[in-house]
Amino acid sequence: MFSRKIILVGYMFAILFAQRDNRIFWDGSNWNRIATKLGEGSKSVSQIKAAHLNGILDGRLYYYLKAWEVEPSLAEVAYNDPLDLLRHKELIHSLDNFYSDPKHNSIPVISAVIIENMRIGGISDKVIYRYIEETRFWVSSIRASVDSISVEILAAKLDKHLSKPFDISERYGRGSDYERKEVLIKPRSPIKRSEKDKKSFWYHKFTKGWGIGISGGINQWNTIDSLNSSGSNYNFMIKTPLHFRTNKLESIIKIETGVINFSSNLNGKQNAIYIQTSLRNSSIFLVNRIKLEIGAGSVIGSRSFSSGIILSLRKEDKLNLITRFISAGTSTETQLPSNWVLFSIGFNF
Amino acid sequence: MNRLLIIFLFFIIYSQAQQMDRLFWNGSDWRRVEKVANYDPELTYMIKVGYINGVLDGRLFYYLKAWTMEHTFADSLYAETVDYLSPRELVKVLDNFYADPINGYIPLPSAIIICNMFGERIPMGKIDEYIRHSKEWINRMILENNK
Repeated sequence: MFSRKIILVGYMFAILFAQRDNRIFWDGSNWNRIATKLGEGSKSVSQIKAAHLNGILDGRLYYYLKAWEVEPSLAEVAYNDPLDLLRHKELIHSLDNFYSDPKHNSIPVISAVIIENMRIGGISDKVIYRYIEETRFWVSSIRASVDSISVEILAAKLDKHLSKPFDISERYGRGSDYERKEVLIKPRSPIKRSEKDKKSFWYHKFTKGWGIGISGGINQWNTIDSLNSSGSNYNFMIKTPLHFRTNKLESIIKIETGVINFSSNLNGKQNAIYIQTSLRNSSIFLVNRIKLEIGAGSVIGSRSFSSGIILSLRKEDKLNLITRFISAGTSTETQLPSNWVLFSIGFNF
Repeated sequence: MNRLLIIFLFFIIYSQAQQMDRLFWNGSDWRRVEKVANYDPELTYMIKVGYINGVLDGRLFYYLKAWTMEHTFADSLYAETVDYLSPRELVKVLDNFYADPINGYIPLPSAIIICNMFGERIPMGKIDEYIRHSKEWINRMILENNK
């Protein structure tokens, strides 16, 4: 039976202290508690109350002057509440009367000072009543918002407390071996994922990276009647998104289409598809990559096969030096050389 | 006899005029609290904490009011830290601060900011600069107030 009573009293204390926690300003209960603590007729009561009122007026005047130096017009509007129509003694007496009504307990002292000055200043009761209601409303809303962020505030305060440079930990019984812990404060709203953070799927690797380019160069081959013959070729290149990349290795597929010229009466279209494989990031000076390729296609209506080596000279493979050895199915009709070497320069955009 | 009376009256008027020049509570008010409280440590503490709570309440109330009008302005004006130290710590640091008579005429709202700067271990150069600025500022304000 006795332990039950202890639990009940403890519970009531816990509730009372919890109620106190969220108070932001001094209000009626603080005001009345001074007299309760020190005795109704004590001279000290009015000394503490006067000190608090002095603090309020000083706090207001200090920031009014600071604000006035920067934004006079805004300061005049923000700090225009009547606060000094009553002397301290009169004001304390008025506030005692005001807070004798328990329903005013939640009104902050600073608002009560404004209210009592309004009353003396001849403002109508209706306006004053509305001011009291508005004050009650915003105090409640602030308390409610403090409730919701109180965990953050407590965490921030704890963090501040633990990071104090002077050592007060021993005083509070933590001992000298107490280790500071990092306090993580949760953000008020969940952090939104950026586009970059979105999950990528395996097939994305294969569908990104379309590109185009041009190339032009010369052909060289051996003929029966002379040592060397030469021609030219111009191509439009399409880099497909079909590629495979690892940290070291890269493999891409390219399509080229263009014109080729062997002699004045032997020229026409050429199309081919190439698979290029390279080791990434070459260590050779000026050379970004060395690629090996194989290709298949058609040259002036005949099937062709090629193998080649490509030196990429700039980052992102913008400039390529291409050397290809091409062989084609030749016939008396087409009069194509059976194989030739192609040297060309290509630009990727 | 008349001369003595005149001198006595002059002193009374002069000392009253000095009191009126003061815009804020400062070091002399802070030190006087102990005497007013009859050297009762608990009562001294209660009066001091009552004053500090008043300053902080006044500051917060007008910060909230200014914030509803102009967010950025309010945030810049009220940027200083005033709640780094707990009230008990603040009272102690203020006692130490005002023990040096050279700090006597610095207003208490400025001293609260300075003491929090001490607590935060802001470099002494910056704190000295702020103290110098506060002295110049209060002197300027008193002169303008007298005009």
